[in-house]
Amino acid sequence: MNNFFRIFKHGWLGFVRNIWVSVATIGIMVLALSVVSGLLIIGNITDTFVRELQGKVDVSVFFDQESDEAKILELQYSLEAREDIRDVEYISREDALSLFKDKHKDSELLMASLVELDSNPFQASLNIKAQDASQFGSIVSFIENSESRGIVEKINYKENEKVIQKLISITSSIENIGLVFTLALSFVVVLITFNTIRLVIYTYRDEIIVMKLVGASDWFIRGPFIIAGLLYGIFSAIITWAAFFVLVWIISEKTGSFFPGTDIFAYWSQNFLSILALLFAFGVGLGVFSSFIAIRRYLKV
Amino acid sequence: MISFNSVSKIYDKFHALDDVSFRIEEKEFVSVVGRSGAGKSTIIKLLLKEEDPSKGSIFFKGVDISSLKSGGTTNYRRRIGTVFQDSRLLPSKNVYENVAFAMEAAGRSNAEIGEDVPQVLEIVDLKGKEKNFVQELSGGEKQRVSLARALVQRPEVILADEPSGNLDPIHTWELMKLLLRINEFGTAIILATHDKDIVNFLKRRVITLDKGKIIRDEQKGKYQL
Repeated sequence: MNNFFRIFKHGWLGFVRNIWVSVATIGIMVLALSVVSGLLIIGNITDTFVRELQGKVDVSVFFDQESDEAKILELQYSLEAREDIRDVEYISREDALSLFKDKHKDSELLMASLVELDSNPFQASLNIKAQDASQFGSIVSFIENSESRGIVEKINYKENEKVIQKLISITSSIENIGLVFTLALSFVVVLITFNTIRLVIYTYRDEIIVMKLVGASDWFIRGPFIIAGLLYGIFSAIITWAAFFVLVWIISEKTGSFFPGTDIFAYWSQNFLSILALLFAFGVGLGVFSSFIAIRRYLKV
Repeated sequence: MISFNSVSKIYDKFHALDDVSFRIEEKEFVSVVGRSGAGKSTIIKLLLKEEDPSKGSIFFKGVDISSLKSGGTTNYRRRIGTVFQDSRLLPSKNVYENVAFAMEAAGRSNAEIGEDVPQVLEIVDLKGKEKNFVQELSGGEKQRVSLARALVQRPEVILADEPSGNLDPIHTWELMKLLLRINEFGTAIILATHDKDIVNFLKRRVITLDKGKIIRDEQKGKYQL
């Protein structure tokens, strides 16, 4: 226990007494962790953007004019019970007519045409939104094989299938590129942090050798450097988190207008504990690991 | 206490030491002299286990030190003290902390450290300088801190590798007087030096090296090359 306190004391004193080395190291780690934070925000924007995009895709099922509303509602209930369904909206014939009138109220010609018709020309429909655009195929297949297939006149999936597939392809590409980008940058972050700490320990190489020669054990020498790595990680995580808190507060409105539906400030605030934990894990983990590895070669005396 | 048995140290094809054998007993004061490159520092490095011999064996109190593993080497180094030519103090620690480090590394208690470090600093005449950092010390003071660090472990032998190499004559003599005093208390001293005046003044055993070989080994010897 005595040794542990001594190691902690030496680590802390080394951190404080070489304050400019510590500040420089923390500065570089803050930059590296900023990449991590940036990736989180970009990931959030991308996810929201993709979700918004997919949310605009829907499939409409149109029913025969004589269809029994109860049967349509039965189909609606069975669809809503599926896990791949996000939302099913029933639009009755009357609702469809009302929507049309509302949309085209300024068009005299269209309004006059409606008056000419004796009856409501519109069909009842179900407007279906899926959890994921790739699931429309199986949803349509379910409808076509259901008991309600007799009252279904048209499903507009086939007409829009190409567009939907294109959308799936685009969102998939965005996600894949995002993943590759994240992995590549994460690797860069690890490299930068490791090399930064390796450089710091390099500047202490002569001291490390002297400590070995006066009879210090490997752990007595290594311990303070690991404590310093831990401190670099803690401080850099806190500074990065705080800096990004301010940054997202400033730019949240602008990003929201550019990417509708996104609110990065809300994302950062609501997830502050998990983001802080992630930054701690990255910063402290890398700091400690890098110190442990970097010092090994100088302990071989 | 220490015996070198046919020890050679070869770097590429260069023989820093060539088939060297000698014994050093407890409480002896031995000067190892020779020109630059004769092998003086190599002997110190081998004794410190900073290097291992290419041939031969080195025994310390009956133990072959080249057979020591990591833990054994650490314990062995705690039994010897070293004064380096360039003092090799830890710049981020003050005088007290530099000396105390050797005891902390050996796992000694805070009470022991609190008692021994001030005593040793008084012996080397550095009382009052405890809180000074290395950068604030003169060359002579740095060497005395280095000596204090070596002494505080109560070593059985002190290795001094050209300790006065960077010092003026006054500080050199002060350091030598300290080493003599320490030797009187029972610690063996092995002094590697090329300072003729010191060796001749000491009138102790002199081992003379030339091109890695012992050419002379005399009790109460003189510096002769």
